[in-house]
Amino acid sequence: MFRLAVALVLVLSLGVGLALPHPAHADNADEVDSIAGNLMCQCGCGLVVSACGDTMECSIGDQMKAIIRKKLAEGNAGGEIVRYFQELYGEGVLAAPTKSGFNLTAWITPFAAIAFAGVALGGFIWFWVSRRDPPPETPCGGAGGRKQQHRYVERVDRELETLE
Amino acid sequence: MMTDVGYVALLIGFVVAAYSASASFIAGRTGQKELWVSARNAVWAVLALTSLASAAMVYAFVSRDFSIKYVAEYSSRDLSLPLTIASWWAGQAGSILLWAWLLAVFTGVVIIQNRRQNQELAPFITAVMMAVLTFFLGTMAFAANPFEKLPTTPADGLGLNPLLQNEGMYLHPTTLYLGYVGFTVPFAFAMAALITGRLGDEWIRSSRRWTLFAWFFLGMGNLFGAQWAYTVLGWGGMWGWDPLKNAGFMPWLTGTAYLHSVMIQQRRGMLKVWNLVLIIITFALSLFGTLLTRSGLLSSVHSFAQGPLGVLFIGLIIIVLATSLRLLWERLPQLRSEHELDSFVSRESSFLFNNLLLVGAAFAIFWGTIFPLITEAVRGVKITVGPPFYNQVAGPIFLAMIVLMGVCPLIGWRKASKENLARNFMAPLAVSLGVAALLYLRGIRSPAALPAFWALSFVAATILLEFYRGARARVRGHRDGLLAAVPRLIWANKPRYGGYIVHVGLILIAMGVASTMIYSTSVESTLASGETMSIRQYDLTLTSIDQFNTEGRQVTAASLSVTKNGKPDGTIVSEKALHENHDNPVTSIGLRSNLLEDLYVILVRANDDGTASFKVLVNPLTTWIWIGGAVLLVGTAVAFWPDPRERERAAILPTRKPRVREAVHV
Repeated sequence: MFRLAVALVLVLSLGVGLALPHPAHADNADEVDSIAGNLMCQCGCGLVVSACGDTMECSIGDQMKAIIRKKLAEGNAGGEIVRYFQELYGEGVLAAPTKSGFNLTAWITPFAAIAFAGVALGGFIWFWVSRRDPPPETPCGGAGGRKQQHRYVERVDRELETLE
Repeated sequence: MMTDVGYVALLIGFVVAAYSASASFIAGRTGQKELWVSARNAVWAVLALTSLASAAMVYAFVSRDFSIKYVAEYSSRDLSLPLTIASWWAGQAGSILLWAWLLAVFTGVVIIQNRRQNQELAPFITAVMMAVLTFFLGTMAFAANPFEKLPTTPADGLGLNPLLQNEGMYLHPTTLYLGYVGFTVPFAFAMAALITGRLGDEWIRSSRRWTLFAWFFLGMGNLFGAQWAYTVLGWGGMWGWDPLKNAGFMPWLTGTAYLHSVMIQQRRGMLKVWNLVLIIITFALSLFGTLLTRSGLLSSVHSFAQGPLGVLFIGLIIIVLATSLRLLWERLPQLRSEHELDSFVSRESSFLFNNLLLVGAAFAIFWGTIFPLITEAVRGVKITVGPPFYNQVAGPIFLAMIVLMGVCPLIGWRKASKENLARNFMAPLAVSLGVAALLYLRGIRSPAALPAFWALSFVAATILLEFYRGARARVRGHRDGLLAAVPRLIWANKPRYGGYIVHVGLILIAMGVASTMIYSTSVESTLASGETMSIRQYDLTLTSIDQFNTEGRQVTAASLSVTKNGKPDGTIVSEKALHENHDNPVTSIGLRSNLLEDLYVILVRANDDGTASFKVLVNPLTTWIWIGGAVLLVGTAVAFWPDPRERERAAILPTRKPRVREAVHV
């Protein structure tokens, strides 16, 4: 079992580790893409700018990428560049809702719903479990009895596992 | 002539389907055998009529009958025969015809399957399926006629969208539709169970394979869609989180929740209400997905008013939800659980939390899909909900889901003891922490990557442990060799081990997706002939740019010689093709895949000065996504495989009598 576990650790980590780039090479050479991924192309294709220019020849996407490159060269941060486009085209250029005002509900609602349902489910399970009758007294008292019972429980577990 | 035949077949089919639905229902209620025979015969008539209409549609495409608007809009004379036939489902009306035909075929199969079983349920199953079919046939007959004629016949058609002219057109829409339509069957079984009051395991057992069938094809449809996006759209990614992708993903998630929670009903007689709710939601989401796939409904709130189809579909979804939930409400007293949860720490509880996350993920995606409509209605501003939103919201939910995928099989049914937990969790936890530590030492420290790979290795270790324990038990009990024990173990309990194989497939898919999303590397460069660009261990040198015409396309092809770690590694070609009748050129990517990574070359444009602009990506472990799909297929096939002992088991199992005193609704 131990040898199997060690082999598994090595296989999994070697396989994944070999394939993933070393941090020295992992940084995306094109910072433009990460900013363009937050902006929707305005040609009407429905794709983010980073995807649109590659899929089809899109002059608007190309221009937007050119502006991103220029602004990066001028020393602007990613957030500033995104804000520039927002001022230019309006909120519709953003690939995700802003995290303020009414748009905040877009971000909060899914997690709030899951949290609420999770608490309700937890409470429900607790209620269900707690209203059960208390477990009967252990029929076999003493250490020997407990040991014997433990053996039986283990055996039942094992057999259940093979049956499942 | 054939167009008239097709349309008349649809009209008659509509009337006969409506008759079959009504007759089946009345026969089920009154027990009139003759009427039930007549209703079944009507099903065969509807199958013949929808087949005739489908054949007429295919004939119209193949014979280039451009007098039909649909044929003129989606095909042209230069289109190859297979793609001409596939144009059947390229647009809205044809897709609805495909839906209707598949549903007619499925209804026929269900009738054959239930000749000698489910005698009480069968008329109502047929009634529900025929009622849904009546809607689709009526929609085509009166609102979206695929055989509508043009006032004048054009010499040629507009042609199929170039992005659809590839193998993906055969696989992606068809598998997706098999999934959407397939979920009608378990829904019909559920409704029949509610109508008749036969609310035990019978309807779940009888519809289990249909659920698996629909779930599998919907999953494969999504996967083929991802592959189509990756290889055809050519932007280096595979999942754009657009409404259409979301439409296929949501019912798959709720369907997955349903597949898991019915296990609890079958084992413990619990969660009866929840299971019914899940299948109702899944079917409603399948209808919603069908609506989105071809209608463009979510482009604006105002598009609701643009055509009757959106209103009709919304109406159907409301009727489906209202009717089924009303039935459910009326049957609540008979849907009491036969047992209660024994412990917070039990497989039942973990399945419930797994359900919570699956349905929560579906809700998060649904919420993101409709949020632009909400902001437009509330604020008057149209916003976009794109990949950054889904990656941030769905990402953590999926991570939790993966962890639970590993936890669920480790916890025993009813109640897990501390010893049981320690014994089952120790090895997988140690293995996964070992993997995470080694990856950390290797320099993989991204806050997104490390938890993802830890969770994936944890699930992989739990599955391996399950196989190991099962095989070891067989070695002891049957004196099999360890290697021989594994296939025998799988064969002895196909649903369980088929499920584990499916989990392995999902892990591989998740590993590929996580690696590609987090560790994809890209560079952009403009090259003149002989110039080189580099990415990771690859150097690519532009050797030639060729232009030629072929099959109605004007193609520009750029060839690059590749060296890997300084050693020659062949040539890779990427193209741009401008199709006749279409303004935008389509990219054909250059792709070289191996088990570790994909080298992905996009010819962005060929410039007037003889240079060419490229974007090159190296995507790690992407091939494992498609391998995971194949494993998913194997696992589903194993779980699907008939087992002669099932009937024996069903006959032996005693009929459960609800413990009314303790009963509660779930």
